[in-house]
Order: sequence, then C-alpha cells, then structure tokens
Amino acid sequence: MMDYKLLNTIKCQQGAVRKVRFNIDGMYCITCGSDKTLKLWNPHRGLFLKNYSGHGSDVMDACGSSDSSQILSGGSDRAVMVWDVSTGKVLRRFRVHMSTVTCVRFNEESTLGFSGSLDNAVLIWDLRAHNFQPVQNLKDAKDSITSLLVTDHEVVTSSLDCRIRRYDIRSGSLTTDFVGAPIISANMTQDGQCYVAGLDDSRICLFDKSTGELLNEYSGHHTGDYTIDVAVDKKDKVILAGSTDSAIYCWDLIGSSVVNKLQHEDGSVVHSLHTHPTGAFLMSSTQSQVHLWGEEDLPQDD
Amino acid sequence: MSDSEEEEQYPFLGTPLEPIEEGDIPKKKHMGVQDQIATDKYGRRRFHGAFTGGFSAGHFNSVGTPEGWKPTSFKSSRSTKVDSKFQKPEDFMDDEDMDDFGIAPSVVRAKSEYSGSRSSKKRERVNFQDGPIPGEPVLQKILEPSKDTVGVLLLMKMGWKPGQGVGPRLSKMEKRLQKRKSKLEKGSSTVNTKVYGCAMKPPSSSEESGSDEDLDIDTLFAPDDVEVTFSKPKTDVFGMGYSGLDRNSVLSAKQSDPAKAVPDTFRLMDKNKKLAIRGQAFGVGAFEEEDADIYARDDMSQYDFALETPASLREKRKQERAAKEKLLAITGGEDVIEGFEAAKKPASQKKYFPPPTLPPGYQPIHKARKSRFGPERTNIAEVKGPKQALDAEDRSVILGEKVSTRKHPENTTDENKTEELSIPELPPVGPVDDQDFKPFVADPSKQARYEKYLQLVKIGAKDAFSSLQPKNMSEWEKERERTEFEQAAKLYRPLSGMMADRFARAELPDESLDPLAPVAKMSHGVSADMAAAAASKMFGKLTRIVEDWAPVSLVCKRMNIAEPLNRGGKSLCEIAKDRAQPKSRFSVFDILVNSDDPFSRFNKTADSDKRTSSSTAGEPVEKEVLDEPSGAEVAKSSASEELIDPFEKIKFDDPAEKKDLFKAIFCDSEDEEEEETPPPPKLAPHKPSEASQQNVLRNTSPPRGIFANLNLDKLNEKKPVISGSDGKKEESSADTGLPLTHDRLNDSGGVGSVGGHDVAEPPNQDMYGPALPNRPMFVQRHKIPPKPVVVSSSDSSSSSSDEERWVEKDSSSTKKKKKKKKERKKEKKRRKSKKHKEHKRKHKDKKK
Repeated sequence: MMDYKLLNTIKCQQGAVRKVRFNIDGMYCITCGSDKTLKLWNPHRGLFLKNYSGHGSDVMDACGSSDSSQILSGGSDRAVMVWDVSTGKVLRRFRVHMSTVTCVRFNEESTLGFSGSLDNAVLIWDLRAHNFQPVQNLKDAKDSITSLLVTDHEVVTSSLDCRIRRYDIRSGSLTTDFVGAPIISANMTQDGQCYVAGLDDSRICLFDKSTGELLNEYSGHHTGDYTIDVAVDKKDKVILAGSTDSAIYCWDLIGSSVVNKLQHEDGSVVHSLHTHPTGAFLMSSTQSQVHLWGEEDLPQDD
Repeated sequence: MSDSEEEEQYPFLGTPLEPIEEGDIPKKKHMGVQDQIATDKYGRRRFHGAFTGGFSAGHFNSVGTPEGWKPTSFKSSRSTKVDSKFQKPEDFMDDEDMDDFGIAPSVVRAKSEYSGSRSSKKRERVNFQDGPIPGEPVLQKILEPSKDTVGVLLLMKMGWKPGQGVGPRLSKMEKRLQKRKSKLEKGSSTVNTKVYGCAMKPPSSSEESGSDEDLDIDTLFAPDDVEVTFSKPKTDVFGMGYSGLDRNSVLSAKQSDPAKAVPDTFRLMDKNKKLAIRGQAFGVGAFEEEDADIYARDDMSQYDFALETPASLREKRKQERAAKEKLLAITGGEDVIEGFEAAKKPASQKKYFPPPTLPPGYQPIHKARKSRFGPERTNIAEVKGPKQALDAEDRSVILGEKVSTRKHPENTTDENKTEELSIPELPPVGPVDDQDFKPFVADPSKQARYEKYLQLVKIGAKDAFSSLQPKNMSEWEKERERTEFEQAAKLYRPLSGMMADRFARAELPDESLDPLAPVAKMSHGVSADMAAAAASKMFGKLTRIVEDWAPVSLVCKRMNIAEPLNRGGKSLCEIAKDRAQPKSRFSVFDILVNSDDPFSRFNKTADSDKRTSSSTAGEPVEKEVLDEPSGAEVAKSSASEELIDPFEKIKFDDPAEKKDLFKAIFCDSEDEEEEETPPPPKLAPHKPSEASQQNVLRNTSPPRGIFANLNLDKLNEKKPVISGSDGKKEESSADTGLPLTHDRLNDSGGVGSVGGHDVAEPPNQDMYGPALPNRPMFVQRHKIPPKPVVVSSSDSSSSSSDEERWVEKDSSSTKKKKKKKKERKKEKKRRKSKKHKEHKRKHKDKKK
C-alpha cells in the first residue's frame, strides 16, 4: 500500500511554490509561485509549458477548469483571476475580496468560480457573465476560510473558526460542524461521504458527512505553523498529509496507522500536495520545487 | 584763372546726366518717403509688419505667401534614411546677411590653420619636433603667410626691422646720450623698487664701455625702440584720485609692502561677488569743519563695526567702577548706609497657606434646598432671587390677578420640580430594546422624555407626548423637541437593523495599551456543551447545526440544480430575495425627506399656538392626570371599555384596538358623539360645581342607540343665542332629539338635568355649564355673559380665555372649515382627558 516512488522533481524557479494542483485529467499541473506567477507544467515529462503573470502578489491557489481551457487563481493581492490557458491572457479579474484569497475552485461545469479568503467570506462568481460582483457571498464563517470544496451540489468550506460548513444547494441548507480546533485544510474522500480535516494541533480527523460524527483520527505528523494540505488517495484507502519533517505521511484510512512516509530529500516542509484525479500519482511541493510521486511511470500514449 | 583752366584741373568721373532742357517737366512725380519701399536684391519687400518696420520674416521672406512658415516635412524610411541634419545659424539668416554688407559677410578667407594666427582661441599646443632640428618648425615661418599690417610692410620696405626704433639713424654718442636721458626718466618712475644687499653694477655701462672702443664714431645705428606706455583707463565712477580703503591695517605687513599696495578703489569680493566699496577720497567735504589729515592713510581697522567697541566697553566699566566707589564712600566701606544697622536675625518668612482644593464635581452655585415637608415657597421674589427680573406672570401673581392660563400655579416653584411632575410614570411597555441608544444623555430629563416618547410611539399614542413635556416649555420648544425626537427615533431605527449585522460587539477587553498582552482564543460563540462535546470527541448531533440557507437562483442555475423549495413549495431563493429587498440601504436622505420642511414647521407652530390658547381648559385636567401615578389602576376600575385612556391603551398594540383612539383624534366630532358610550352612571356627583362632573352625568346616559339620537346641536339651536359658527350641525337638526335627551338624562342621573343645556335656566347652567359637550357649550358661553359661570378658579379662567378666543373667531367668521375641524379635534382630546379625570375622581370616591 502506498509504495510510491519519486518519479520527477521540478525546480519551478518562481519563488516558493504555494500550491501545486493537477489539472482535471492529471496530465498537467499548475504551480502557484510567490513571484506572482502561475506556471503550467507537464510533470510526467518535466516540461515547462507556460507562464501566467499578472497577479500583483503571491498566488495562493489555482484550479484548472473542466475543459482545461481556463485557470482560476487567487492571490494575496486579493484578486481572483481567470486565465486563458493557451494565450495566457487574463479573462476576468475580480477584486472584491478584502484580504488574501486562500482557495479557489470551479464548479463542475466551470461556469462558477468559488473563492475563499482571509476576509471570512466565500464569494461565488459567475464566469459566464461580465459581472464583476459576486453573485453570492457566503459570509457565515467567523474566521478565515482555509479550504474550499465544490461538489455537484455542495460547497464545503473549512475555516479557522473550527467549523466545517456545508452549503447544500439542492436542499437549501447550511450544515455547520464544530470540530473543536481550527482547520488548516480540509478535503473529502473520493466517494464524497467523509470530510478529512487537518487541524492545527497536528491531528487529522475523518468526519462522516451525513451525521457529523468522528470516524477516525490520524496523528504522527507535525504541521507546525504551516498550512499543510491533506489528501485522500484515489482508492480511498490512504490519508495523505504533508509534514514539517519533509515527509508525506500516509495513514491507513481504517486502521489509522502510518503505512508509509514519502521522504523528501531537500529537508523542507511539504506543504502542498494533490493526488492525481485518476491514476496513482501524487504531486507535492517543498519550497521552490514540486515532486511527482507514483507507482510507475505514466503509460504515455504519446 | 579762367574757367577753362579750372575745368582742366578737375577730373570727371561717371556719366554725365542729360542736361535738362528748358520747358521740360519731369514726367514722374516725386515719390514720397512713405511710398518708398526697401527691397532686397530680388526685388522683394524687405520690411514687413510692425508699421512696416519689421525685418523680412520667415524662411526666405516667405511670410505672407501661402508657404509662409511652412514646416519642413520629415520623411525617413528603412531604405532611405535621413542623415542627421544639424541646423546652422545660416538657416535662420537672410541672404542679405551673408552679403558683403550684411552682418556676416561670406568672403573667401584663409583658414586659421593657414593664416597661422596665434590669436586663435585654442590654446596652442606646445609640441616639440621629433625631427633632427629642435625648436620651432623651421619651415613654418616660410609657409606662414604674412599677416603684417600695411604700415609694418611699408616700414619694412623703408628699411625698418622689427626690434628697432623708428627715426633717423644715430651715431654711437648720440645714442648713448639718448639712452641716459630715457634712463633718468625711467628712474624717476621706478623709485619704489627696493634692492636689498649690495647694489649690482649697472650692466649697461660696462656694455657700453666695451663697445665704445670697438666701434667707429661714423657708424650710425638705428635708434632704440621706444617703449610704449599705456595709460590706465578709468573704469569706475568715483572721483579723481579716490582710492579704496585697505582692509588691512596700515601697519600690517601687507600694507607695508608697496608692491602690493595696489590702489584699487573698488573690486569684487572673492566669492560673494559683492561690490564692496571702500576707500577715501582726498579733500574735505563742504560740511566738514576742519581739514582732516589729508596725508593720513586710512584703513578699515579705524572704523567701528559694532555699537560696543573695546574702547566703549572700557569706558563703561570705568563708569561702573566709579559708581561703586561712590556708593562705598557713602556707606563707609560697609554694605550698610550710615545710620542704619544690618539686621542680626533674618526676617521671619510669612507662612503660605495654599487655597483649599475643591472637591470633584463642585459647582460654584448655591442652590437653596427646600424642606420636603415645609410650605411651598410662593414668594416669587424669594424663589427667583432678587437679581432676576420679574416677568409679567410673576407680577400678575403678586398683584393677585387671575392666574395666567399658561402659567401653572406650581410653575412658580422650582423648575426642576415641574419637570419631574410633568413626566408621569408610564407602565413599562415590554422590553425597550433601544436602551443602548441614548442621544440625549447630556440632558437626563430630556433623555427620560425621549424614552417616554419612544414608548408612546410604540403604542401609537404619539400625540399624548405633548402632555409629558414640561409646562414651562414654550409651544415652539415643545414642537421642536418633538420633531427632534421624531428624527432621533427615525435615525436610530434603521441603524439598529442595518448596522447590527455589520458590527460585532468586542468580546475581549481592548488591550490597546498593552499590545503584547496575550489574546485569548476566540470562542466564536461556541456554546459550552458544544465545546465539551468536541473535547470529548462526541461529534455528531451535539456539534452540528443545520440552518436554512438560500442559494441565489443564478447559482442554482449554473450548478444545474433546481431551486430548493420550502415546505410551502415556494422557492427559497425568492424568499431570501424578498427578505433582502426591504432591507434597503440606510440613507440620510430618508430622514431629510421625512423631516418637516421649515414651512410646514412654521405652519405647525402657528397651529399649536392657537391650540395653546384654546386648549387651556384641558390643562388642569392633564395636571390631575399627572398627579395620579398609576393610570392602569384607574383603567381597571372603570367598567367602560370604550373609554379612551391613553395610559390604559398602552397595553394594546393591536391597531384594531387603537381604532377608537384614532377615531377620537381624527374623526369628526359628530361621529364621535355617536360612537362614544359614556361610562355607566355609578356615582352621584359629589362636587356639582366641578365642570368635569358634567361628563360623568353624561356618561350615565343609556346605551348608544338611543344616545345616538341625542342631538346636542338641536339643543343649541333651540337656544335663542345660537351663533352661526356651527351651522353645519345646526342644519342637521332633528326635532325629536331634544325631548328624548331630556328624558334620558333625567332618568339616568337625576342630577344632571337637561337644564344644563337649557338657556332658560341660568342657575342650572352655573352648575353644569362648563362640563357640557364642549362645542355647543362654547356657543352658549359666547352668547351668555361670562361672569355668572363660576366654577373653580382655574376653570373659570380657562373658560374666559376660551370665550375670548371664540369671540375672536366669530368676529372673523371667514375662517376655514379645516381649522374648525382642528379645533374640534382638540376639543375632543380635551374632553377625553376630562373624562379620564372624572374616572379617577370616581375611583377616589369609591375608595372613600
């Protein structure tokens, strides 16, 4: 279980890599740099494809659209931007957030953009219209939004006010779960039934989405003062999280024991990681580098 | 000499003019100066504009032509690049300027490098030849064209050589003589040259002597060149012989050096570039008394540059010393004047007592405290203080005149007391949520009134507020305060709604003084059991909150989800939208628009002034209301539900319940009369003299249906003195009304006979008159002489004032109906309060 090998390491040369994200089919990845740029890579072959510059400050998060034609990004310049992938031009630039944008997401069809920010708000943007005001403002959180997940009918936000909020659009309800500690990062299992919440006291909790009950708890890693992503592997068997000791911890989802540690060589904090949407791959980022982990090389059809 | 001879002597130049034949008139008219035009060599006009005195203008004199001042076109392409063009001065000059007689004639000249002039501005480089012959290039002299002037050339042709003097050749002896002569002259000029040490032998003499022997006497020599002396030009504007003063002292070494003693009268200072003038002219001015030493050499050191010079200071010190010595002489060497003695003990110092520190909150005004049980001070002079001027009302009290209507007897006492009295205790109406907002904290009584006002507004009895305002306020002030409260209430209400979701109360104390103080973790409104559940990992129901949330319909659309419906099947989105809409943005303009414009306020004031005079009858009643602390108690006792008691009504917030009140205020009096059901006649009037008692009697009348038939106007009509002021009512009179009322009234109370309405019985009217329905009563009063109607003192005064008012109105019978209505309304109000009072009285009686 989780016998990943380091397949590739890319030196991004864009300052610190704030986030690394696969695109929708996992062929490419987007890195968010602290030098105000986004970079598009093919991590499997280590190719640099394009540079997107236009942010006024660090880029904090990015997300590729469902047709891979657009990139949504948010930065500490409080702007949310939509980029055209091929031309590298800015299609939209929303400047409504009052503080650093920490997380951005598309909806399934990439018609809406969601952005969470340190200003406690989650704004929903209509990307079809040329309206530069958000269509809705989810301002229930009492502290910074740390992560944001959008499913087909739900918006899940995690906030430093120790709560996971699930806005169910279908039923028109807001479910708030109090988890007892500020949430640094949250994710969902691939089946969409559980929350994985990385708490600031170096714990990861698995909650049942429907009842809010605690299913499991994982510990052993160290988050320190860093924002460290948590993830779940493709088969919903392993919980993954970065750590300050330069390793990715892999826990058995059911047994809650550490099954593997993917050690990085450069000895710095692994703060961002993203699992491949379909295959057995994992991207992680340490300082200015990103690393591709996987069971074997991608069976390329090129 | 003959003419022919003369002619021969003169040469003739040019072609002679044709001789003018006699009788031949010149064809052309002589051209005037104004017609003569200066042209250039191409025949173009040379001067333009500025009274035709300007020079030729434009490139190639092109001004005035279509091409005038035409800018040059610039074109440059990759293939044909325009080489950089430098403008020369010639570009801006006319052709004539370059002509022989122009300002810059262009003539063929040798270039400076060929002319060999050393006077070129460039510093000549000292270049030593590398070639075999050192020194100056040998051939350069040959190559150099001569630049000598014509005079030199002529002299040279005549045998002169450079370095020689001009003149006839001289023999050796002659030359020597000449030399000596010149030397003598020279010697006089060079007297000042100092030579130290042994004087050298003049070299010339030895030379001369040597050559003397060798050469022949016959040999002639060219004379020595005479040194040309140039006179120094005068460049300043000072007088002849003026020389500047030297900065340095006469005795200084610099000055003593004669070589450096340049008599420069003035010069530019080194750095400041200031013209510093110093010096001394010879001679004495006309105003000078005596000749100064004209040979003295003056310098700057002899001038003072400050008021106090060392010399003057010395002088001063000397004088001081002298004064001191003088004093010493007086005191005899000691510090004490003769005849006095120095004290042995030092004088005792006076002890200083600091003024007492005032206690905090001390006010430097003495307020006389009144004993709670002591008699009220009615002496106005005493109350008001001697300094305060008495006003008309005070004087009327002193003189024993009728108490002015506006002034209440109790008004003569302390002002504060009046205010206290004027604000009765209202039963608390629900929780007052506006307690945080205190706009009039500075004035506690005003704040209290504001709170009362808010309560009244809440129950819809806004009009009752005027009764709460202190009596000593003028109508204008009352009105102003009321509008002020209105605006304050308006201002606050939207704020409470809108601002609430924007601001949060600080949960932690402000530690602004200590920025390093640790901040506790925010609880974010986590309830204790929720926190406990989380701590014990009992996640689930305890930690979960499910609320309604409405997505915006556009979000639903984009997410391909049907809008969520509530239980009623209505879209949540729409509900949320509807809910959001009324919460419009708070705007200052709302207040501005709602607030009364100045004109309407003026109108109001005018109205209220009228009311002041008219509503005086009601005031004593109000007073009683105020005296009675618990209005609710009274309300309980009163059987009638329809009795309109503002304080009782406070309990009900339902607008339907308030309908009566509104009707009472806004409907016509006629309607009201019909609707009003007087309270059952439980009590016999104990004080028939009281005007208000009448109402009780009226209230005892049977139920509404019959009472409705009672037409008091009819009664009035019966009276012979009825006036036309209430003509409307009179027209709708019914004959049957009168007797019926008579019966009913007699049946019910017995005491309240209809005689009260009957003018035929004046004594009865004395008793009941004032308390009858107001409007008809006024009519009566108007016609009946006012004196016989004597009830209580206050009432009588009020009635008299009323009467006056009505007389006035009648006199100006053209008043509009609207106003009448208003009056009627007011009357009604008054009556209501009267009734209220009666109830209270009843209640009191019961207790007795």
